[in-house]
Amino acid sequence: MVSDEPAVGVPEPFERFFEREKARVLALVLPLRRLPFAAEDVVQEAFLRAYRDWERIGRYENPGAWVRRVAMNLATSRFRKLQSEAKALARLAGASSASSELIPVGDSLWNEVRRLPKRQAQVVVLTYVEDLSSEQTAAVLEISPSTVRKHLSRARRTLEERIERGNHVD
Amino acid sequence: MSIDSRLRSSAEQVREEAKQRAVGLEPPATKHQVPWGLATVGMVVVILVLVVAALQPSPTGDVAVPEVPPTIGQPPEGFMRGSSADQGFDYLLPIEGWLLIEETLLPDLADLPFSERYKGTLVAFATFPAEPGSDIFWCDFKPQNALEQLGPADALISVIEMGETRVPEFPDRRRATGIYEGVPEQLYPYIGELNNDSCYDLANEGRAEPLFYREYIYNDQGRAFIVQVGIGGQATDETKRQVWQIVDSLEYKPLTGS
Repeated sequence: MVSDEPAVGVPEPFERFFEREKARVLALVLPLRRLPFAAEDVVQEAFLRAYRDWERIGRYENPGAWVRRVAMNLATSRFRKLQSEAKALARLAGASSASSELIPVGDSLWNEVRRLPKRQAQVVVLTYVEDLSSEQTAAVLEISPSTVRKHLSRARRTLEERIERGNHVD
Repeated sequence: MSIDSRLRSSAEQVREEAKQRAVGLEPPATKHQVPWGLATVGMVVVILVLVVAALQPSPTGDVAVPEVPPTIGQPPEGFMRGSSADQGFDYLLPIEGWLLIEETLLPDLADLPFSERYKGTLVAFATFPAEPGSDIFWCDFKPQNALEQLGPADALISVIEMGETRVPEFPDRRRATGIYEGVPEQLYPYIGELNNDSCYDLANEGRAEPLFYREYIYNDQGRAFIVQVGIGGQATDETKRQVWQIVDSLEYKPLTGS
C-alpha cells in the first residue's frame, strides 16, 4: 500500500525520472503557491533532495511518491513560503520580462484552497489535480485513507460554505 | 456548478499550465546558476524576510524570550544527566519539577498500517504525569490526551522517532538553519518546524488559556525525529527556559542492527 517502499534493483537514470515527473509534480505545487516562480523553486528543491540521495531513493518502488510528498510539504511550509517567495521576488527584480510571473496561479478557487489547513489543501490537490484515489493519496501523504476522506470532506464543505457566503469570486 | 465540478475543471487548467512551465525546468545537476549580482540581491531579500519573520510575535507572547545556557560538559546546576542505552540518546532533565514519562504517549501508532514509518514515542518529559492516547486518525501523532491534561503553567516535550525514509526530508540538525516561532535563537541551527497548522489549532480547541504547541523536525546521526513541544500560557520563564534546555540537550547516537 505504501508506494515508496524500498525495492531491489538498479535506479533508473535520475534525468529520465525528472523529465517524466517534473510537470506532474509542478502541477501539484502550483495551486498551493501564490507565485509560479516560487512553485518552480519548490519543485527544484524537492528533486534536488531526491538527486542527492538517488542511489537509495531511486530504488524505492515508487520514488515519485517520495518526491511528491517532499514537494507538497515544502509547498505548504510557512517558513518555506517566506523564503522561496523572497527568492522569486529577488529574481524578478533582475528579470526583464518579470511582470507576467507575478500573476497568481489559477483562478480564485485555488486562493480558497490555499486558505485551507495544510493537510486539507494537500488532499484536495492530490485528489483533483493528480486524480488520485483516497488510498493513493494516503500512500503519498503517509496518512490513513480514512483521514484522507475526512480531510477531503471537510475541505469540500469549507469551500462550499465560502462560495455560498460570497467570499469566492469567479 | 458543484464544488467537485469546479475543482475538476480548474485542475485541468493547472495541469495544462504546469506542462507549459515545466518545459523550462532543468534537472538539479544542470540547473542554471543565478548570476552573482542577482544572487546577492536574492540573499539580501531573503535575509530581510528572515529578520521580519523573527520579529513576528509568537502566539503565546513571550515564549521565545528565554536564552538557553550551554549544555556541554557537566550538567548545569539543578539538572541531572539521563541516558537511554536502548533508544540511543542522552538528555538533561531538571532535578525538580519534571518527570520522565516512561510510558509511550502514542502506543497506537504501532498498530497503524504504516507503522514502519513511525517508531513511536522515543522519550517524553513533562511537568505533570502525562497519559498516553491520541486521536490518531485526525492528527496522526499529536499526543492529544497529554496535551488535554497540560495545565496553564505546565510543559510537555515528546520525541517521536520516524523511519529512515524521513532522514533526507528533515533538516540536518548539524547544518540546518531557520527561524521558528517560539524557539530561542540558540536552537535555530538545529531544527525545522513541521508547520502542522491544523494540528496546532486542534491542540488549542476547547482551551480557555492558549497553549503554545509546535512540532519540530530534524535528522541527527542518520535518524529522523519529531519533537513536540507544549507550553501552557501561564508557564513561568524558568519553565520555558527549561523546555528549550531539555530540547537542546537531546543527543542521539547512531543505531545499528535495529
